[in-house]
Amino acid sequence: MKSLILHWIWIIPVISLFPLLSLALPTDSTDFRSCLECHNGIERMDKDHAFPCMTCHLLPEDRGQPLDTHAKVMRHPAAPEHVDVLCGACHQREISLLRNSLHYTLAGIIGQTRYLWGAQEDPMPKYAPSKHPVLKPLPPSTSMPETVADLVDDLLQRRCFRCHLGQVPPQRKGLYRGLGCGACHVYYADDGVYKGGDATLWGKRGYPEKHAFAKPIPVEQCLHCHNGPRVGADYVGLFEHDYHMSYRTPWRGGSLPETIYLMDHHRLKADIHQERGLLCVDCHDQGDVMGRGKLSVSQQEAISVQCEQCHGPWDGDKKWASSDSEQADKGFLDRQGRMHPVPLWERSVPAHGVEEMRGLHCTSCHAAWGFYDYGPSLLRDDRADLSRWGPWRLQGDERIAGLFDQTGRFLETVDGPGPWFLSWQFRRWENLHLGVDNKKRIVPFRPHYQYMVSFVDKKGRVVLDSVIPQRGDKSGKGWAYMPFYPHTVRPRGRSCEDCHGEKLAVGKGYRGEDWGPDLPLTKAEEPVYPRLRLLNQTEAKRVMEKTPRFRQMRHRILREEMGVQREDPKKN
Amino acid sequence: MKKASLVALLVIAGVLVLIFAKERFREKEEGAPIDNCTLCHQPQGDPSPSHPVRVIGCSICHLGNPFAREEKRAHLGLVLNPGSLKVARLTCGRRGCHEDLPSRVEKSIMATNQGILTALQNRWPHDQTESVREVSQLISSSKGRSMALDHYRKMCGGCHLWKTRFRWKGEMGRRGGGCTNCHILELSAPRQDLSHKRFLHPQLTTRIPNENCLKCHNRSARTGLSYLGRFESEGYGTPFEGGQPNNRRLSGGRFYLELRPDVHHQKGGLACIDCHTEQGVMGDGNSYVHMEEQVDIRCKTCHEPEVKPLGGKEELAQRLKRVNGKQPPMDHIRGILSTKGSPLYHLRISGDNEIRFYRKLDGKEIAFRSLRKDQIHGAPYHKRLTCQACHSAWMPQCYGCHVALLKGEGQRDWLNGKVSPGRWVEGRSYLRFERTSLGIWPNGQIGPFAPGCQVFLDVFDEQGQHETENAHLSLTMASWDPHTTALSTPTCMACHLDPKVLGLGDGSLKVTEHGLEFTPLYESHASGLGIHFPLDAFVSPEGLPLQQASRKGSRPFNLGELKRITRVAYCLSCHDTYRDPIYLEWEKNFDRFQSGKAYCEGLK
Repeated sequence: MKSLILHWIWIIPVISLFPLLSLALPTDSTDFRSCLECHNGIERMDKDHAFPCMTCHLLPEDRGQPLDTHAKVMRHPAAPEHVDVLCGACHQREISLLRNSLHYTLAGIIGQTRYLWGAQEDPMPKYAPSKHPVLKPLPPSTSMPETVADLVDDLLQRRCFRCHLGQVPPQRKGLYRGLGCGACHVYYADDGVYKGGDATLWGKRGYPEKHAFAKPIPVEQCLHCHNGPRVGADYVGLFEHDYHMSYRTPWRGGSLPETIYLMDHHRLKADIHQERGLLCVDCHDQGDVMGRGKLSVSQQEAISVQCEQCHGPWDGDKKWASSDSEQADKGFLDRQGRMHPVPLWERSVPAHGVEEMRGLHCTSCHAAWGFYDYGPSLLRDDRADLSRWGPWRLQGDERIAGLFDQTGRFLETVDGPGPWFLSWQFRRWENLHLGVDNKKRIVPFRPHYQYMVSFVDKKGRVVLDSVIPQRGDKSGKGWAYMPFYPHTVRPRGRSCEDCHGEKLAVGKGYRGEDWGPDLPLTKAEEPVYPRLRLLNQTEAKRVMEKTPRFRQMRHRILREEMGVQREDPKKN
Repeated sequence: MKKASLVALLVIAGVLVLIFAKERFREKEEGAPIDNCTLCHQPQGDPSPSHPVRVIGCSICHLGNPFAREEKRAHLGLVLNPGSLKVARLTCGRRGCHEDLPSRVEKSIMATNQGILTALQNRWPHDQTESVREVSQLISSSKGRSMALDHYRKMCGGCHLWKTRFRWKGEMGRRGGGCTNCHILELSAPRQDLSHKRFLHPQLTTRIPNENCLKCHNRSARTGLSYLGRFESEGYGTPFEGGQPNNRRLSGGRFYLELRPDVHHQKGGLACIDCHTEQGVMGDGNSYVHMEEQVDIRCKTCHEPEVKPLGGKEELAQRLKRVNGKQPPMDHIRGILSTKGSPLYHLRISGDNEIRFYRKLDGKEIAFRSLRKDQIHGAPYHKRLTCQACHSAWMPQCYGCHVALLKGEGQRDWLNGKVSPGRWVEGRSYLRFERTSLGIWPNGQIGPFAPGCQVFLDVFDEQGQHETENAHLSLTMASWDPHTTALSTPTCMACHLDPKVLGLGDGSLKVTEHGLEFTPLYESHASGLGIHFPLDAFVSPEGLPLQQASRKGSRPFNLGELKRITRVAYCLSCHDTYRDPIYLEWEKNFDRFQSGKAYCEGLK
């Protein structure tokens, strides 16, 4: 009995300590729903989104009680997984539009690649990278691939989908962006640094430049994905350097050049529209970018903007358009509020006086250069030691760049499925090819692509050795040339001789058969979709031959430009 | 008595056996050996039919002490490679053998590298601390530490005849070695352990295979590579083979693409030596600064040949033919001489001046084409064109040579074999082979040009800091025969109206009555190069040279030439064959045009 009383002497003080302990434990008195305590000064997204932070950044089930962890805060409210919940109340229409558009489904990329690699019988959309009401998710990649078709989904997921709205991008210069709708509508600077009013976020990398909707969307935003050898990069004049370390030049600044989009670049002449200050969104409206409701198959039918809308059709009827309203005689009002005089199509331009040119798309002549990347080799290397690839570490891929140091030395052995190494045979910006698009116009065509696929498993067995895939409908090689509309428009078109008389331009390849095994890559291959085609024999002949009609027109053009007058011929 | 004579006989027999045995111990081959070398070393095979070991022995070439019978004494003064220029006067060039050759070869440009040294030192004007004319000056002394010469030592000095052969593995090891550099048959000379008694003696030849030339002539202008149709590529190593970059490799981690070989190789199977004579390659005893001054062959030499009586050269022709060993019998009463008077012994002239060409490597006869004197080659308006201007199918163009000196690291000096401070690194901007630029060659004629070299030099100190005062630009366009001869030629417009071919660079060209309006494609300044013209622009649209030319007297087209060439395009839209009537009486028709008497409206 005495012992019991004595026990109380220590029990009571101990028990009374318990309340004190709770002070040491993390209390739920930090409620992360009081955002503005830390994020004081943060901007409103815009006047139509002046909600409490929680409305966008917390799922409904997390809003009602104190929030004990910051991890539940949605960094990207518009990411595909929860955009319906967080934005759907007001934006159901836009979300449905986007879901069927190419930006969401990547239908062209997935359909064409899977078809060319023999994994599906036609290039129509069947799969989507994020959840979709109709399209299925990509089948899981086989763990023991044996054929090219076995590998295509792995390639798509681990190399191509870095530019998908639902995927977190590499945190590198030029590549920072949001997810879902935010990928376009919330502007991330190229350096990914927040420069707005929020003191907590200020100067931090991996955040939008400001917590605000981009109005209008700058060119750099589109380029976060539309970089590399793709339309978009050409608009600003970017052409990638070759991959080998010896092309990491120049060193004028006293150091290796700074990469953007994980690459070094040449600068070529930019599009005249870019020089005049036009943004991508000045031409490409919501319908082009987010689709018009129907499930899009490819860029060919998804994009509807045409040069003629501003510059007038071939026959020269005046027709103006601007982003806000018809301003018939004033010019083009861009999304930054500036007015641009628009040069109209004119018959007085010597080359426009040639009636046969009517069937050409404007870019057939007015594109100054394009992306001509011949002979891509794709090799998945599952071996632990990847040191042999050091010289090509810089190829627009974050994982590969990280495997080696700046001198190309291999840093760490790799476990699991290896990276996909990309390589080319040679790359050019000059000498464009021609073909026919789905609107029956003659347009530039480019190799897109001429795959040679290799796979080495982790034991070093070369399962596939530069295999050329077969199309899924067994109609031939899984190589294709596709139409594209180079955004390298210049006021003066290329010279007639760039196509006329040029075997390469009509799809017959550079020079002849005795030029070795590499140059046949310059021979055209059938495009993917049935409504596209290469030039047929008659068309090719007309382009190649110096017919009397060609000579007459060519002569007339030269005479007008050179100012030669027959009555008084000038001395040379 | 019987016993004594038996013993005596036995003793005599024993002594005789001993003597003979001892003698036989010395004789390993049939017949008496010339030197004692063969006591320990038994070469399998002779260096060549004219160098039979059992007739001339070993020490006549390899020196050493032929009388000694033990290793140390026998090897005193021994020379492993008799062809080395350091000993050639005592070995190959000894009295009674190839006496005149060592002094000729020492003065030849492959031994002096005068062209390389002159160009380097000339282009490095901001570091003229010393100046050197020939490689031998750099080897024998410790001179040559200026930046230009350090660059030479580490980046160029592996390609000359004074270099020691086989100090390193691979291509670098095979280069050099004086006479041996060219005259050895590499496949016959595996690296072997010479302490073993039997070994394969490397073979020498006068029928020098292309591989020997290509050891060195696969860099810089890459003439050896181009001749075989190989283009040093952008280094992708594709298509991959066996899960890695493929085997179309060159030394230094480079790869090549296969384009069209020179027609002489592709159709004729001609080797380098089928054109390049022994005098052109080994020199005529004069020391020339530039390669083209030593080369004694031109397209004309064979294709517009001047057949004449050889006179005193007949004997030399016969001797060279005999030494070749594969030529059919022929007299050399009349023949063709190279530009320096060397007889082309592999051409046979028959009575009616018909020429037959025999390949030097195998003696096979090749169909021979002389230049037709026709409208094409006789056209007066094209008389300034070299053969190469039209008949070169492609030319390797390496735009932007970025050179960096890293003072904090070390690199091997190929002249003395030691690593010394300072590492040179090279990078490039981009490559092309198509649409060769044209300009004026030093001889005043129009010929191909390509970058050679467009140096952007950056120097980094021991801590890796950029030394801005040493940053230097030296942009040069060079002219050479690309060795990509083709029968087919470009179309008229491909030269007359292509801005890149004219030297303006790739871009948009408009020819107006006021002059040329040109918008280039390549934005050098935005690409970080610090210049305001594209890398492929040799000349501005106003006719001002934008880059240096590699020789005094060579230059891009001037404004007058640019205007004349482009305005002809006006005619070429219709009159685009050589057989066009207006060109057949050119002067007369041009006058008619100038005076307004020509009707030039085009077709109705």
